[in-house]
Amino acid sequence: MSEKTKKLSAEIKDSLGYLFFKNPVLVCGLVIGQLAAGCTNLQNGAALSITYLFIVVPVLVFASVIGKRLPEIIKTVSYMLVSAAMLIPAYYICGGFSATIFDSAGIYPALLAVSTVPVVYSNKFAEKQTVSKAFFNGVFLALGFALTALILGGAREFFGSGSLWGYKLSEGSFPAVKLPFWGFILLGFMAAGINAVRDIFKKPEYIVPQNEEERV
Amino acid sequence: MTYVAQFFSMMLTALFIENIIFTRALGTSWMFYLIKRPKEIVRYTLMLMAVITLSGAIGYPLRGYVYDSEYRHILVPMMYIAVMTVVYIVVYIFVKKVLPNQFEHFGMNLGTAVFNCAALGSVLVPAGERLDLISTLGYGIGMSLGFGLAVVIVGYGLSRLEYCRVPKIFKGVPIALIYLGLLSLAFYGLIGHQLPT
Repeated sequence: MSEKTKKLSAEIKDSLGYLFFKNPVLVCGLVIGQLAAGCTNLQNGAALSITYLFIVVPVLVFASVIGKRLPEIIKTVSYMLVSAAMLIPAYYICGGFSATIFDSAGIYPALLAVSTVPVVYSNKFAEKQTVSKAFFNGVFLALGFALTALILGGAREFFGSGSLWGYKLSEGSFPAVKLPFWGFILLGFMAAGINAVRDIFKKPEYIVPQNEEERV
Repeated sequence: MTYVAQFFSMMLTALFIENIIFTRALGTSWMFYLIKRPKEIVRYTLMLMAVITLSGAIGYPLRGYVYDSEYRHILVPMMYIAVMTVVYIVVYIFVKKVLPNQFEHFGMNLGTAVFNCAALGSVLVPAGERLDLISTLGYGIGMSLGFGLAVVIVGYGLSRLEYCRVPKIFKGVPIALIYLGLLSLAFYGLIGHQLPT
């Protein structure tokens, strides 16, 4: 295996943790609000996941490529403008699945543009990473977010209205599960589930780093 | 007098009935960050208030240009992010030149203090409901005060939880989220809502 391939596979292995044991929502505590209040069904979960992927990957790659060369005021502004611009492709891709899924999630997909990863992670981590590392981090952060969003959205839709992706599966329903407080409680139990799995596999606790130096 | 009543009515609505954290769940991650730094709460709440007020006031005349478009779901947030960018530049220069001590305190977090879900959400909600300028400003100030209130309440509760015997798998993020959910439910009942059936 060449040195380049080894480096690439190490980067992928490092980023893979964001799917589960370093999950951005359930372990790092990021983007909680958008899921607790905005992810009330599977379609909303899909819209949020697509939007997050389209925002996070380009912003982190952009930060990794030119972040270090820009003065602080310019780079923060440019990250935000890239992030806001990425709402356009996300909107069109979501429209491909269903005409209304982006709109039905309300203001929450748009709020992802100013969430912690584009604002903080790009500044403190991505700038000091290679382009490939920033890319894989972005992809797996988004996939970890998507995993949480789809499970949470699916569960809330099933229990809240007895359906999945709009298809009726059962008659009984518990509409309160769609309210934000249930979102927080369900996310809390999902986070506890990850801790339980970590306990079973005897994995060490993940301490969320404050910058790239701490992370490495 | 009507304007004053309208302003305070919207402010109280945003502060209690539509609390930014307990009802809208905006800025939750940022709240958890601030809970660990209690000395920063007042500074960041004031910064949030300034950002929301300025963004709301600047965005108010502009939103009419994009609100009737069929793409308003992306144009309105993009317009407000552009407005917040202008606000960020103004705040950055103002704090750096006029309040250099505060600039050192904020450091790299000045961007986070301006660009966050709490600030953007607090201007998008009144824009979505097409509130007038007085109501928009009242709502924004109520949202920022509501954020400060929520940080204090949740922070106090979580500090008490440290003395409780929490099961190992619930320690950290899980118990914080469940506690926040229960507080949110309490707030929901306190202001007179009934659970949907």
